[in-house]
Amino acid sequence: MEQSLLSFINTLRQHDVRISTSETLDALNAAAVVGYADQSLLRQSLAATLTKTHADKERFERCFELFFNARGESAQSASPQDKPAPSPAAGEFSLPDAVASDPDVAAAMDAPLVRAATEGRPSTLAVAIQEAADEMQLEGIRFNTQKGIYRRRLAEAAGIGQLDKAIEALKAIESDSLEGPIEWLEQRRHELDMAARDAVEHQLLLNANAAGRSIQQQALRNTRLSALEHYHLKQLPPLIRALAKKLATRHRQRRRIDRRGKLDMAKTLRRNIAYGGVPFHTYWKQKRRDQPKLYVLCDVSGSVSTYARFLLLFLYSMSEVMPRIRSFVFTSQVFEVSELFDRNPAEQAVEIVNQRWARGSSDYGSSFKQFADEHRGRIDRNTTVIILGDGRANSADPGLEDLRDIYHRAKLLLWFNPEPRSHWNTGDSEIRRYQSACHYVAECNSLAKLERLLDRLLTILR
Amino acid sequence: MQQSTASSAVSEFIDGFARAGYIASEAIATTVFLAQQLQRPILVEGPPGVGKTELAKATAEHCALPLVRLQCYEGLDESKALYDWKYSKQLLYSQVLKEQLHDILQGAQGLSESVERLKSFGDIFYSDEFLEPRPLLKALREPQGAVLLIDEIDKSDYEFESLLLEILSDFQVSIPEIGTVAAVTKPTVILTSNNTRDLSDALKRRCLHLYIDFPDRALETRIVQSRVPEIPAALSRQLVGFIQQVRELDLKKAPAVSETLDWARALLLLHAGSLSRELVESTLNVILKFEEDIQLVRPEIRELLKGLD
Repeated sequence: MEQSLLSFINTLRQHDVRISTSETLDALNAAAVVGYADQSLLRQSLAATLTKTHADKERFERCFELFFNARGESAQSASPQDKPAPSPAAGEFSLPDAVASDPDVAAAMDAPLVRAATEGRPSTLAVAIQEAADEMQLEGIRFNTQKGIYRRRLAEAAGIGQLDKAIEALKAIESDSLEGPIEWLEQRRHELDMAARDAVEHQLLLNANAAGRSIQQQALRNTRLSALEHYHLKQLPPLIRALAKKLATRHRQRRRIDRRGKLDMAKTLRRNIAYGGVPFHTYWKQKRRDQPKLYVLCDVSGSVSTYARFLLLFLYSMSEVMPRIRSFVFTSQVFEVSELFDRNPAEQAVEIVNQRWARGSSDYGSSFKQFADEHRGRIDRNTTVIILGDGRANSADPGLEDLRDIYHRAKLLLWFNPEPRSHWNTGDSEIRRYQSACHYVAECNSLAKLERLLDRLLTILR
Repeated sequence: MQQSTASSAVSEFIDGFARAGYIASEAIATTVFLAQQLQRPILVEGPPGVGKTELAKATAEHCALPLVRLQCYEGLDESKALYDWKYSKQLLYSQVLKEQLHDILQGAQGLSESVERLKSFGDIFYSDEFLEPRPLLKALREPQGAVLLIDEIDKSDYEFESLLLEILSDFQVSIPEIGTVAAVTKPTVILTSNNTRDLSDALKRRCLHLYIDFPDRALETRIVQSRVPEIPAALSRQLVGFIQQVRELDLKKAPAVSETLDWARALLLLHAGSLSRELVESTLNVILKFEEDIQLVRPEIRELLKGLD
């Protein structure tokens, strides 16, 4: 039993549950304490010792189910994902002799996969899928978006075409007596298709967290300049620069005032005990202040195109004032632009961002997910996250879960919405739902408002 | 140990918790049982208000052990968590004892003899007498063992986590002036976290992990009935049903179990027999703590109440 426990732990590790040796020992001890007879007790004991996060626990449940229940039954069911309907017996499929002797039909029926199906060897289907999967290197699948193509290719490689041909050949004859067999074959075809889907999804599950996760962020293709009012270009930057400078000076002054302190009595006494308690050395209470970290995500999609330049300039001005800011732009993917902003003057930087990334409609769901996945570990109580966007999710997944996760981790999660308040919650705007996962949602569509917000933010972050 | 004793021990925990007013699922009881068997700390995670802290209290009550609680916060350090020296007392004594010192050292020849004499008195100022035990040390020194609750560990700093490692794995602390203090009886340690940041792997590795989610409808009804026994059964079912639906909405802060209980008590005070729209509207602030949330739920009340039937 210990051996199978160890191989179970191995399975868990393959599913990216990190298990150390000491945890393995814990699990073995726990199993020794509770025994193997009561499955739910064993499951809970192993869960408590082996998994250390909620996500791990879910993976654990799945693996436990797969591992122990698949072992408990015989190894008969080839696809453990979907329990297939009881496989059809060979006798269920029969063609009238007249039809069967038709040369087209006979040829189609003779294909190995069709033959296996009609002769009632359902395991052949599973084997065909498995072989096809090996052959086409299904392990290569990395992303959710590849599911469709892999599924189709897999089904084809497994020989779905043979079934199609057989069905076509039967249909060509146009006889009522053939409806049954056609339906039967179509069912097999569906089963094969489903099996291919399961295999792809299974592989994707296995791969989901593997090395390929670090998504290669290929720069989107260059697009033509988005149409923007030109007077913005000339008027805004100097204004924003002035604003940034003003805020920077005000901010600096405040920091200096903070350096005065209180006497740290305990420490002063402790260090002066050697002198009979006469405070030769004084120690001051120091408020250790971790430098605030700031992440800003800016929506540059079509729906905010009128505001995009404004938002980007805002972003740029903030990167001038705040030393530890990291700037990102997103439409359906998130790109970091901090370095770009450091290297280029405002107008140029904004131009480059617009050229490279501003296109298409925003996908908040995938953007937030990507951002959360990549930066989750770095977001802590010193981090402020600001999102600049109109919260129009185009009726797609708003990514609320990921945003909420960031909200719980960060010191502050702010949303600056360039839309006037009267437009909020109209149409596909999800700002109302986002409000539940933000500390504060503010309207921000003029320089005056921008200044106020930024000023308040700097005050809080001090 | 035999399997039958294990499962009976687990059900004993469930009963014991129930007597302490804590309705525990099997997973919770199993984990506490294992923690005591394997002498491992438990790391309890879950949304706020699902009874993580209560679990420690119930464990203490069930096992008849004292509960030592350490509330974590930013800036918590060893002088507040582990031990401190009583500086003022040390200072006072050193002033008072000056005279005595004079007597002791009288007649000593030279410096080295004086030092020799002083040495024979041991480390007076760094002894137990002047040691101020803080929660962690206190828990280790309880002769019968204790339940040590380290609450909201995610609020503390990374440095503090490392400080805990020695205590959590070996149940001992090193005090430079005294030496290593090992636990008399190993305490049952319960750490809670709201998951506002990831804890270090080293810490997680040493703990059993327990995730407590919001209870389902049946469990929450039992909790309400156990904690607020005076409430009519029909009302408690209604109110739990309502809360469960409210949790499905996109709220800034979903109502916790403790808020369900508060609401039950509030409704009891109002002599309510069943939920009505006006009643819910006027008491909504008991379960929702953000104005935005209240505004979101208020127009939905009628729908939510309809969903109860």
